[in-house]
Amino acid sequence: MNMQSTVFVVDDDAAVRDSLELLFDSTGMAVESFASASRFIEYYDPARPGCLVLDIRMPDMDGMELQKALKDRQISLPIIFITGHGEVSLSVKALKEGAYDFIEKPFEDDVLLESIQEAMILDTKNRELADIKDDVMTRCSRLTPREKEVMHHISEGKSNKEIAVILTLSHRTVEVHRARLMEKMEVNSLAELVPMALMYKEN
Amino acid sequence: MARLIYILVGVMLVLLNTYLFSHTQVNYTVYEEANDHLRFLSHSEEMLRHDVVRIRYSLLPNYDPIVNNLYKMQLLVAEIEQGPISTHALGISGFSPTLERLKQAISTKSDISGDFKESNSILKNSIAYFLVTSSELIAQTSQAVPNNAAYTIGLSELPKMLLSYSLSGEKTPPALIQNWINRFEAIQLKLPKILRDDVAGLIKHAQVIKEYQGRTDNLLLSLLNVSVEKDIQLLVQGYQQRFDAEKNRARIYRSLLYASSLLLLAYLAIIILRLRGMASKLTQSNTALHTEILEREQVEQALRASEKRIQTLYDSTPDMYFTISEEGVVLSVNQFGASALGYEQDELINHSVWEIVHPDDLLTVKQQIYHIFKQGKEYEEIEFRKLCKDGAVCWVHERISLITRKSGVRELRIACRDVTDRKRVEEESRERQAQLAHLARVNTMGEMASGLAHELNQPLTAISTYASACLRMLQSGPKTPEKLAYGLEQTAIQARRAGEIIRRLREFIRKDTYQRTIIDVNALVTEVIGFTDPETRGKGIRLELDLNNHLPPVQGTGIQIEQVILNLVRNGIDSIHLSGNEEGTVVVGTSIDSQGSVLVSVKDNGQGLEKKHAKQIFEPFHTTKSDGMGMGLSISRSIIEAHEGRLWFDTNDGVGTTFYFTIPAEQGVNVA
Repeated sequence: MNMQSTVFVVDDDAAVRDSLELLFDSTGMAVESFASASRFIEYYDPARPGCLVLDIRMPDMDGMELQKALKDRQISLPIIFITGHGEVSLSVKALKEGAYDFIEKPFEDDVLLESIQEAMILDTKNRELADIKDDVMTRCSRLTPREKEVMHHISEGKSNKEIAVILTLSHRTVEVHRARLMEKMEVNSLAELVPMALMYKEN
Repeated sequence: MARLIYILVGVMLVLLNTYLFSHTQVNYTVYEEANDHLRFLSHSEEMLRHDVVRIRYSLLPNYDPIVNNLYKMQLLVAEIEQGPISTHALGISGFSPTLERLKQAISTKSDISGDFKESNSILKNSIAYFLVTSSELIAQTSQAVPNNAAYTIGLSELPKMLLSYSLSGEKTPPALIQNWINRFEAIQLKLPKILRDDVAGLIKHAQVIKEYQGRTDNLLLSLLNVSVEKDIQLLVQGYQQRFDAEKNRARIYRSLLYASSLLLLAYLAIIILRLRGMASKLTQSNTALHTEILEREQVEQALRASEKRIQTLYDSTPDMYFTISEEGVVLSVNQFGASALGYEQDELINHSVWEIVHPDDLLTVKQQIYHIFKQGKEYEEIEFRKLCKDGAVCWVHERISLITRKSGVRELRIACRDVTDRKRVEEESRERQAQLAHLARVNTMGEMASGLAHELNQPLTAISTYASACLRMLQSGPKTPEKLAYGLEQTAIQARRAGEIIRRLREFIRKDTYQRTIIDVNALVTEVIGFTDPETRGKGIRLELDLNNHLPPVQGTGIQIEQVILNLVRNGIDSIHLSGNEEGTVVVGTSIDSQGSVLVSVKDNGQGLEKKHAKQIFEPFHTTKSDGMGMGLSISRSIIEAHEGRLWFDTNDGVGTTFYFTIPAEQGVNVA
C-alpha cells in the first residue's frame, strides 16, 4: 500500500493533456495521461492510488460515461472534472454521481493542484478505510448467522436480556454467542465492536 | 448549247458570204485605166506616125505634135511604170522587160525626133536661102554667060521647081540637084568674080539641100522604123489575160457565193421556222411573265408596306439595333438605339462602337467580339455596360449575330436591350440574399456558440496550464531549461491555435462582399470541418471526408458555399442525434458529375426525412427541429441557385439522408 499516488489525466485534446502533464510534472507529481476513456479503462489498475482529471466532453465515451463505468467496477478513484463553461447542469449531475470536484476551463493552477492534493488525500483515506472494511468483512464472514444477529442487536445498544427476549433464547445462550463473536471479531470491548458492526450493516 | 451552235453556224455562214462576196469584186477601173493608157499610147504612136509623114517635106513644118505625142507617150509609160497599174500588173509575165523596152523605144524616138528637127531645120534654111538668092543670081548669070546657053538653060526654072517640091512636101530628086550643081560649077568659072562667090553659095546650099534631104529622109524612116506597137500589143495582151483570169476567178467565187447564199437562206428558213415555234412559246411565257410581273408588283407593294412597317418597328421598337463592321465601326443603328443612349443616329453611324462602351468593360467586350470573329461564332449573348452621351451608365444585354455578306465582308448584327433595371433588381436581390445569408450565418454561429466556446477553451486552457507550469518551474529554480522552453513553445502554438479559431469564426460571420472568386471546394469542406468538430465530438458522431483531389475550380462566394456545407453537415449531425444512432456518421464527399460540375454530397445515417416534410424542407420557416429557425435549407438553396447550381436530396432507402449540390466548373472569362 505504499504505492505513489498518480494523477491520471483523460482528455481527448492533446494540448490540454500535454500542458497538464507539464504542470503536474513541474510540481513533482507523477502523471499519466490518456486520450480516451476507453484507453484509460483498459489500462488502469484499480490498485493504483491517485486521482483522475477527466474532461467531460469527449468523443465515443465521454467523462460522465467513464464515471459511471468506474462506479460500476467499484473503482472509487476520485474524479476531478474539467470542463468548458456553461455546463452547470452537467456539473451538478457529476457531483451527484460522486465526482470529487468540478473545475471550469481554463483553470487557475492553484485551484486545480489544491483540489488534486485533497483528492489524493481522500483517495489515500478511502483506500485505508477500504482496507479496514475488508478486514471487518473478513472477520464478519467468520460469524454464524445467529452471531451476526446478536452483533446487530448489540450495535443497537441492547442488553443481553433484551436480546434473549427478542431472539427467544436463554440469557445464557446469548452470552455464549456474545463471547464467541467478540473472539471472532478480535475485539476486547464493546466500544471496539460497535463501529465494525455498523460498517458491516452499511454493506 | 443548241442555241450556241445555231448562233455559231449563222455567224460562220455570214462570214463565208462576206468573204466570197468580197472575192467576186473585180477591180475593173484598174483594167480600164490600163486599157485607156495603152489605148492612148497606141493612139499617140499612130498620131506620131501620121505627123512624121505629114511634116516630112513640108516647107514650114510644125514639130509640136511629134514632141507632144512623144511627151505624152513618156508620161503614159511613166504612169504605167509607177502607178497602180504597174503594181496590179506585176503578176503579168514579161511586163517589166516589155515596159523597159517601150521606154527605151520612146526615148530613142525622142532622140531621133530631135535629130530630125535639127536636120530638117538646116534643110529648110538652105531651101529658103536658095529660094531667096537663086532667081536674082540666075538672071545675072544668064546675062553674064549668054553664050553658054546650054549651061544656063533651065536655071531660072530651078527655084520654081524647088519651091514646088517643097510645097508639095515631096523630095526634090537628088539627081536634079546634082545636075544643077554641075551646071553651076560649069558656069562658075565663066562668071565675073563678083558672081562667083554667090554661085558658090548656091552650090553649097544645093549640096546641103541634097545632103539633108537624104538625112532627113533617113531620120524619118528610122523614126517610123522604131516601133512600140508590138510592145504595146504585148502589154494589152497581158492585161487581157490577167483580166480574163480575174473574171474567171470572180465567176467561180460568184458560183460559190450563190451556193453559200442558198445555205444562208436555208439556215434563215430554219431559224425562222424555229423562231415561229419559239415565238408561240414566247407568247405563252410572255403571258405567264406578265401575270407574274403583276403578281410580283403586288408582292412588292406588300413587301414595301411590310418594309415600311419593319422600318417603323426597327426605329421605334424599345430595343437597340446596331450593325457594326469587323473594325468596330457602327454601320447602322435604329432611332431608338441612338436616342436611348442620348445620341442622334448620325452621331453614332461611322463612329467607333467602342466609344459607347463603359471603359471598365471595354477590354472584355473587345475580347468577346474578337473571339466571335476569330472563331466564326454565329451567335453570342453578352452583358456589359454602355455609356450614354450624358455619361450615365446603362447595362445592356446584347444578342450578337455574325453575318457574312456575299462579298465576304463580315459584320455583326446586334440586338441590344437595356437591362439596367433588371441589373438593379438583381443587384438588390443579391444584396438581400447576401444579407439573409449573413443573418443565417450569424444565427448559425449563435447556435454553435457553446461548441465554439469549448473549442476555443481548449487552447486557452492549454495556454494557461503551460504558462502556470513554466512559472512553477521558474519559481522552483530552472532545473530543466528544456522543459521550460518546451512549455513556452507550446504556449505560443496554442495561442496561434486559438487565434485560428477566432479567425475562422470572424471570417464566417463577416458580411459578404459578394465578390466572386475562384474557389477550391475541397478547401471549403476542410474549413467547415473545423467548425463542426465540437458539434460532432460532443455527440459521439464521426465525420468522414471522401474528397476527389482533382476537382476543377469553381467561381463563387466562398463563404456562402461554406455556409451551405456547414448547414448540411449540421443538419446531418442533428438528424443522427435525433435518431439516437450510436454509430452516427456524416460523410462529406466531393466529385465531378457528368456535366463536369463539382458535386458535393453530405450523407448521414440519421433518422431520415419523413415524407410529409420532404416537399417542404426547402420552404422558409419550415423546420423539424424544436430550436431551428427553418431558414437553413431555404437559404442554402437560394445560395446554390445563385451560383447556377442545384441542391437536392435523396432518402438513402430510409437510412438517413444525402443532400447533394452542384456548382458549375469555372470556364474561362465570363462577363458578370
